[in-house]
Amino acid sequence: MYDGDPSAFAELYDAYAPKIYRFIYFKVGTQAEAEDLASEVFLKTWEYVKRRERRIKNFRPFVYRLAHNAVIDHYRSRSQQPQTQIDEQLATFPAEIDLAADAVRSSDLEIVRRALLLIKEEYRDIILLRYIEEYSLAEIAEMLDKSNGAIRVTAHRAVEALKEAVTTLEARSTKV
Amino acid sequence: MTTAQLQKQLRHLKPSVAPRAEWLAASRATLIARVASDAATAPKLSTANRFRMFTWGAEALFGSAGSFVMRSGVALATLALAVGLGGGSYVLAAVNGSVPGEALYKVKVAIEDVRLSAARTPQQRVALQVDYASRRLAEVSVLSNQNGGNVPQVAELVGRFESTVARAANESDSSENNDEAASLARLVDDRLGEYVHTLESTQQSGNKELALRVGKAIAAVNRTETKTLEVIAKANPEDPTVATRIDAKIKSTEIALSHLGGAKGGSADKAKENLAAAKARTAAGDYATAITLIREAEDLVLELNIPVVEEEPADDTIEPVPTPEETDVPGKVEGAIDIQPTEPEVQDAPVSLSN
Repeated sequence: MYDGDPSAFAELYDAYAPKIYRFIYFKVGTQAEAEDLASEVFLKTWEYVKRRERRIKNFRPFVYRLAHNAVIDHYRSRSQQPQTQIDEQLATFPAEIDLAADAVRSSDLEIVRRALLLIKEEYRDIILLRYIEEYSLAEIAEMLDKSNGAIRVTAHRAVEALKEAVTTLEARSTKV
Repeated sequence: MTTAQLQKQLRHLKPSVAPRAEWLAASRATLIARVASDAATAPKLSTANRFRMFTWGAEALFGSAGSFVMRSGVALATLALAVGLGGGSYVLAAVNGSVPGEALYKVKVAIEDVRLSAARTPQQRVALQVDYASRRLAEVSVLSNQNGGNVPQVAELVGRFESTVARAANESDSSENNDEAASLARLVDDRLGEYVHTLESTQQSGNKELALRVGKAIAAVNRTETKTLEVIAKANPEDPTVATRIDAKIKSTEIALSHLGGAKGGSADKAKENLAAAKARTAAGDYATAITLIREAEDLVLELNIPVVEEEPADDTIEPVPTPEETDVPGKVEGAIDIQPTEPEVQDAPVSLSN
């Protein structure tokens, strides 16, 4: 018997699935892709655990790295770089968003969400982990395998880049 | 926009992007089925890896200061008790992963009982009960995949699953405060989809006898759903999602009825009448009556299913379920807590963050 402790793995899934889904969603921008990739991440995690010769010292950084790589592989498999996809989404931005007409929609949030797609991947990761998932700088440093100082500097630059992207999108939306 | 405003917006983004409950449940069921399938065929996981998985769970549990403060009371007491009972971390991991038939399973159940009795509020009790129900189903998956499954033992576990879910549902039903009752009912209701997915996976992979038993459990979950829906509707008569859920229940009961065929006589006709009346009451906004009618229709469908249920073996043909102390599997428990030698590391790391 492979006494692989399914109940413990289910608990891990319960704890991390919403976070991993969200992390991926903000990177790919669609629900269907985020669901497929998040499912894939957990199946790969199990595959990894199953092969006992491989060890995972710390689950959280492991699963986030797996999610990060799953997104990259996803774009590679489609022979499409993330930025290309993002450009396509932004090209439709004025047509899709009619801030004045849709009072119910939280327009500011939508702009921020779309601005996230505009900034560099490295910045986006840090913004997602720091300000949406609310991990500490030390935790993020561990996840991204970087020093605390490097993460602090990059986080500052990421916020500035996001502010600039938000400003750009706000300017575009007011022209519509 | 200032940095503070931007950070506030980002925090608000978090709840706006949540996975669909249906996807979470389906993905979870697929994963557990896969894990259970592997558990039945692959060699035993080393205790070191079991411990690692346990610590990941603990990491998730105590991942932030906030959650630590909120959960520390019960969780720490449980961990302390577990360590005391087991004598070490490796035993803790083995306890967490044990299934019926293993000596450590008694400890696992004892810890669950202690946690349940330590729960101070109905919310805590229901939250634990729905988790324990998930655990029973995970154990069902493991056992049903072992050499075709020990049917009496799995049936016993399914029974424990049903009673755990029923206790959780009764907790909400017995609350005199409508809002609290609805809040408890939602705790149960949120997990029912996951239960059905897991049970359906087990039903497909098990033998005929087991499939019948699991089919009854699925029916029981559906009836619990009706019960929780009734409580939720009572507290939130204006909630538009209630009508949608009632419509879905009417359709699923109609489908169950149609599967019984046309020669079922008066009971089937009565069930159809009830469902038609339930549709009319739902349209009129009288959800309470609609749910009562659906419940009666479900009872009738269950009665009409009796010939199928009767195919199960009589009680005296089922061997007594061995208790953990009665189960003699040489080397099994010892293997569970032995530290197995680590196999050579694989050369290439499977994950790397390429920035």
